[in-house]
Amino acid sequence: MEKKYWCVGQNFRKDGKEKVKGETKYAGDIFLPDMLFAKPLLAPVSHGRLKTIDTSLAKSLPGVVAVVTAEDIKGSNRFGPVMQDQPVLVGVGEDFKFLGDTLALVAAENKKIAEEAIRLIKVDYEELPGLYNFNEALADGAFRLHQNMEKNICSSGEIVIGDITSGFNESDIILEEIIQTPRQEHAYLETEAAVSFFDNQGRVNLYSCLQDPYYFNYDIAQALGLPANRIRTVATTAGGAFGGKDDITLQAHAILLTLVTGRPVKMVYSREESILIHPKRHPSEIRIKIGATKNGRITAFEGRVLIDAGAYTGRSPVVLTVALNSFVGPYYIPHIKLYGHAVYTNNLVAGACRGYGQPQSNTARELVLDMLADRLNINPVTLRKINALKQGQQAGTRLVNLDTPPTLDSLLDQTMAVLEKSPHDDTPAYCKRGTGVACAMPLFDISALPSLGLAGTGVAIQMHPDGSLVVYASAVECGQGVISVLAQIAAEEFSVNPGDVEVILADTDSTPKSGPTTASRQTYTSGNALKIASEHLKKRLISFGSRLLNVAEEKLYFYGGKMLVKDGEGEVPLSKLAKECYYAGVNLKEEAWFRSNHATIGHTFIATAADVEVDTLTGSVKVLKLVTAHDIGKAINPLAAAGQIIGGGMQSLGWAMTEDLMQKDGMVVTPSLAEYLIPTALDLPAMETILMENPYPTGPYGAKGVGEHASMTAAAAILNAIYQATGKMVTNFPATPEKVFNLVTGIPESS
Amino acid sequence: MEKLELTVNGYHYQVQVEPDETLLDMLREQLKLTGTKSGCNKGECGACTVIMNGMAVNSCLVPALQARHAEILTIEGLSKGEELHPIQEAFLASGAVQCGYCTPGMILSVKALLDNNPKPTVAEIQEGISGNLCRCTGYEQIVQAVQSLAGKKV
Ligand code: FES
Ligand code: FES
Repeated sequence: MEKKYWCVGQNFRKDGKEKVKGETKYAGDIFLPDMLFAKPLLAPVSHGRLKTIDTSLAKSLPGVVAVVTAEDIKGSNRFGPVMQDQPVLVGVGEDFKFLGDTLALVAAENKKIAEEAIRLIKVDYEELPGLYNFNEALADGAFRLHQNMEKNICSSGEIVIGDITSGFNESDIILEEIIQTPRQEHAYLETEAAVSFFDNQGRVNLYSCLQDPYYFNYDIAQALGLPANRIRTVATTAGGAFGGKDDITLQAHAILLTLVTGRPVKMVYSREESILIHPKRHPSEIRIKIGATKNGRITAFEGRVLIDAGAYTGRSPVVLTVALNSFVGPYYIPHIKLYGHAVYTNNLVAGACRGYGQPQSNTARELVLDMLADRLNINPVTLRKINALKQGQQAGTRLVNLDTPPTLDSLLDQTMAVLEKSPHDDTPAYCKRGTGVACAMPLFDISALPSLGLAGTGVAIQMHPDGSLVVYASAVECGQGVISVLAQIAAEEFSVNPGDVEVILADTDSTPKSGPTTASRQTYTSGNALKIASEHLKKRLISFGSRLLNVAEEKLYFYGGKMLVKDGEGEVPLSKLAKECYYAGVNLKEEAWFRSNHATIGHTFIATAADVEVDTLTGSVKVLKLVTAHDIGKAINPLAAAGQIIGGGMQSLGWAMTEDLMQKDGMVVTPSLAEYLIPTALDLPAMETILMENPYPTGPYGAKGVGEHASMTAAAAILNAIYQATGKMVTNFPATPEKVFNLVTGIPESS
Repeated sequence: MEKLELTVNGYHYQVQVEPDETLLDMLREQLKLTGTKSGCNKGECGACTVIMNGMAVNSCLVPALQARHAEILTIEGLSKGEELHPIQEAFLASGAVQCGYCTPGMILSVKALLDNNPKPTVAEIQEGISGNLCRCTGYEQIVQAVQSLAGKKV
């Protein structure tokens, strides 16, 4: 029988009311007395050596309070989550390596003066040749972007299972394809913003939209030469993040300017600055060689992944690791050889973006599977089912242990059933219709990887003397609903109204360290930590209650805001119980730590089906319907979970259809939202979401991660649908009308 | 600096503005009505949408001086105290709010749409909010929220 919950499984939006009223304070909404406004001076070209920088004119402009360069930095002036190789400010004599490098900062009495002062800074530089694609960067004799590295290879990885040669020998058909995926911009509606100021203990306070307060705090501290405890970092409610706010950008700059001026400083990126500076989804080139028997058994899979890391290391080594470990996905393939490199170039820095490398490798694999199905003359759904992983089989990664039976078959069936239910029959004669599917085995809480320091998560819960509860967690609310989910979990544990639980998020002064809010992990990790903390607190309350009510501990339980005795022999409201504890000197705050299993990381399954219509006269594609079925374990908040799948699906649709943050010789071809096109409401297909509940043994109430997962299948399902409609695969998406038209009419693509 | 009189959310204001100051900056920086957001400052995202004399406008494109004697409605003026406006209620009930950054502008575009067309079709809803980008929700739950309001008094 299904377990009955008090409020888990219900829809609840703790931050909803403030948001619809426009009352939520994002970092850019903070105004402080005496506050200065800051602007950055960015690199003039993608690669060059800074010879001199003259700030005297800018400094003399009335209203300018400080113009700051690398000389003003006392610390290492370098930051980075894996390797500290990215400069806070590029110094004289150093090289700037991409268009988002910052050379100087201005703080002024207002925005306008700051902008004017930036134009008065004189920079003398020597332009250097750049590396703008894989071939240039990997060529023998190419100059090295980072002198401490032997080549322009930022990191490499390899996974070998079985014996690839015998795998290909066992196959009847071998297919080789190259898939190229575009650079994706997160395009959160809120650009980066930060406010910093000194508190009355002389510590710098930082309020900013960012995804990991403790990481920012310590990395900025060392870069600027401060002890980490002299900075307090508060992650404000983010106006979208999707991984793009997981890395330091203007936060170090705002703090530096406060250190120099002593005054509060606000810095907000323009959309154009945001697009240049924060790390993107890596563009990739993925080569797949796949072998199968005539009846559709895949025997061998060899794949190479190249990802463009851009100018600095950022999170590329981890993104590559995740891309490789999810490459084979939800299938059993006995012989695999996967390898890849993250490559330094002078392009924009790439980093975390919803899915962390998984969308690239999963999409490439799913496109090739459809091409293979075609060659084998097998239905694409059937091909996937033939090869779906079964419990006990070795996945294409040693990081996954199939602790529950895989659900791919059932997800595929449910998806196809919904897709087939509602055929539109009004396709005009000049259009072609097609349906496509794609599957994935998303990995979540990848921050538990050894290379990421096995991120653990702390959460605290406190009961006040009136019985009201406060949760303290360093998760960040970026729209995904973590604040609601944590309130629901605390409410579930104590059987109180979730609306009455307060949740304090992401403040290094008060909330325990929890690792990043990325990798679809917070419901899982903070949720688990909160459950453990709650259990400890409940235990203490029960032991106190048993003395108070003079009954055995086993007889006590929580329900509806009270502690009750089984068989109705008495009760005490939490308000009274807490007050008694208060006077008895009983500690009512508990902190707990949760860390995932070291050897393996979380995984789940997802399937998406798409229905598209291709206009053969223009090449334009309309996505008519997108159906996604996700094995969520347990949906703690179904509406929010569905929102993640739909929203992630639309981002992936954008990636498939229009989004390409294109660079030509280092210049950005799509520098603003007028050129870089994300989906609008007009692009919305009919959307269906199926949440399959299949409790996960180690998840809170059985919950799994969900946030990133639709980005691993929606693009592939759409591109496969175009393939099914036209017989042509767009192997270098986005599927712009020009590309589709050329493919359909057989015109070779112009370079 | 020029003097400007206008009405915002039913209140009369007198402010001094620069000739190149936008309505968006004036609302946010002078009146501290920060519910109106900036996502691009160039008319590309709709986050700054307010209703000016009954029409939804991108306030980042409107010079403040053009709002002389205008009636402006921002998100702060929509609900009556604790009581939410039906559009706000519908957004919450449908899950149309995630990060919330597009939400104020989106809600005001929906209001302008429904004021003119109380029973829009799905296509009309999509058209009506097509100038408001939302990166989180994928629009589906927003469209559902608007559909749930069709024919109701808003
Ligand atoms: S801020 Fe006005 S349209 Fe984007
Ligand atoms: S809810 Fe985040 S942009 Fe719309």
